[in-house]
Amino acid sequence: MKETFFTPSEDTVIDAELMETWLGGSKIHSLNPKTLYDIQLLLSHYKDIIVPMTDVKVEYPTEGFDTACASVDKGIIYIPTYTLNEGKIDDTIGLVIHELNHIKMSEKESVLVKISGGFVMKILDSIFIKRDDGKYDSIKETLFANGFNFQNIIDGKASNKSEQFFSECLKGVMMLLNAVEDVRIDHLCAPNVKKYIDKLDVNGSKNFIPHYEQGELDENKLMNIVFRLLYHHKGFIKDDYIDNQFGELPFILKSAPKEYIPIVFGAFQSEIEEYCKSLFDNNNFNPTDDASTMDSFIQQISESSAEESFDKSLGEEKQYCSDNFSDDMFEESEFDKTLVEEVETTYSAEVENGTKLLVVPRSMKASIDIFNNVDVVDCHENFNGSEVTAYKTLLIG
Amino acid sequence: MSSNFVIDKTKKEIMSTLIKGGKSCLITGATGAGKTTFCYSLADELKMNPVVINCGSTQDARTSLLGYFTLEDGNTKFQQSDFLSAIQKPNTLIILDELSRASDDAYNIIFPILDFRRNIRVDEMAEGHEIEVDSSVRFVATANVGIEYSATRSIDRALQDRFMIFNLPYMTKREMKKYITKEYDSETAEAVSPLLDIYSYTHKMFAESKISSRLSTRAVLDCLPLVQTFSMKQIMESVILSQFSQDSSSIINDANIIREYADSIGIYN
Repeated sequence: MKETFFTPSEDTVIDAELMETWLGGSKIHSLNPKTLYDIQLLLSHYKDIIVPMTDVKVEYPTEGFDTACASVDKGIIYIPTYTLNEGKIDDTIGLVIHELNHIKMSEKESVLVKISGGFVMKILDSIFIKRDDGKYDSIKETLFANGFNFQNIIDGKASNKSEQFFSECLKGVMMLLNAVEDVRIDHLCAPNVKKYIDKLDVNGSKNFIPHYEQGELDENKLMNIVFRLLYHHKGFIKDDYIDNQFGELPFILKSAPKEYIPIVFGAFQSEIEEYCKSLFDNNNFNPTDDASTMDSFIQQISESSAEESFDKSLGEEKQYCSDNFSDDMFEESEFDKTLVEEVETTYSAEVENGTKLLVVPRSMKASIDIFNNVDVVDCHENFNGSEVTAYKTLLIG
Repeated sequence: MSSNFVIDKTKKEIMSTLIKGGKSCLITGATGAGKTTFCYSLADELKMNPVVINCGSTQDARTSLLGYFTLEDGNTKFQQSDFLSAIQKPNTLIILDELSRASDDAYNIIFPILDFRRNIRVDEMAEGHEIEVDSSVRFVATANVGIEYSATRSIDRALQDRFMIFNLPYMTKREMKKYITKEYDSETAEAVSPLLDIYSYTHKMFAESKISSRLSTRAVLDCLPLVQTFSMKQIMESVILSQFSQDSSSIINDANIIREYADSIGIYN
């Protein structure tokens, strides 16, 4: 990594109130490079406190990372230096603790991608696009007809437009799932260090709430849902829609990611569908190297905002929502073909060897997703008196 | 001495058997791990009379280990040292404490006592130069080992050969809690629980070379009388952290690493 040094200006306000309570009477008066380095070194020891039996690296990249994030697969957390440079020492501790809690409590990204990928594919199979000849194909069919290979998604090497589009869909969904996971791990954080997380939340909410109250996030778009879900379950807002769709905080707290993921997909299926369809309609499946969907979203909001502070707040939320999902997150993961096959056969009605496509209504699919009590039945019918047609249908048990 | 000392039971039985059979034992371990206390508990179990000889104070070895002259009625008279008296006294367990701090002269005096000869030549004595060690007298020694102990020295190989060596590791947090519960009560053990967490953390961090020293068993036990009167924060700042480096020119020092942990267990709340 290229070595760059940033020296905060003398006017930088240092916020280390919580840290200074245990610093042996010392005050942090200035942030010279040595002090910054010492603080980084000292904060790295939170890994010995939060995940003492795990080999975890704490890295402080000066570039290449816009947000704090964690790779559970690799056992590394990345804390970009900008929060320290801005004098937000307590907030940096909050980020370190939050990311270490991901290592402690969260599922590996490789596993999450496999599970979520299956669900996203299922949703894409329920969105139909009209072909030139007037017939309809699901987006899933369109992707597979255009060289889609799920292995490339898992390897983080989306090589064509189909795979790039799918990656973008997956990113949005992962942000939603990460918001749920953030709620879970922050609530379950060890009580004595939770004060750092709480401070980080309060600082973020100060900038978020005014815009929420002005209705800027009212529309039930996936990215709005991400923020609203986060702040609703952290107790800063009371959002009726989130409450109705996914309001059971005790369920979040007692569930592992594998348990709540199907429920999240069921609760926000329409938003995810709309998000994916919007990406498809806008032909927005050719992402640039450095502009994530979240970045675009933030840019939209920032441009509509007159308050610079809100930009920063959303920047902090970006840390929350995009962690656990970095560009290299698929590295070293293995393709679980069995899982993908299982997801595909369970959640969609397939065309097999000349059998007719049976379109399952969305309402029925939603029920299937949630209650998982549907039997797939093979049927044979003689519709025109001359040819027996085989197809599958679903019976709700 | 209480029999509540926490150590591997088999190891203790082996040592008792060896000592009964006439073998000498050397107990190594870090400072404050409880080596001397353990020797007392061995004496208690063997029903022997313990006599502690502080080898760290034997820079004038002949005076310390053999004796000294006094002036009586215009004549000098040799007075035997406690050590010399003890080796002649039946059923004595001589505890050679801090053997790793003894001088070469002390080693040379101790050698013949510990091997098959079991006697010592004392030229200072007027009557008879040879002192025989009583057949029922036994020896145990303690020593600090490791790079932490700059004032110590490696023990002469020939001297090591005269001992069966046992290592006494620091007690684990769980063993400490058990010990305190038995020696004091469960309320005290509970009250001192945050200190035991810090004790355990310093040992982990020391083992990983992240700090340069660790909290000793003795240091924690010394704090027990304080927990009823003083807050854990006061004990931390005034007693515990004094034992660690606190370089005020840098935020990153051993004391702050421990303070960081102490904060995470609520001591600074």
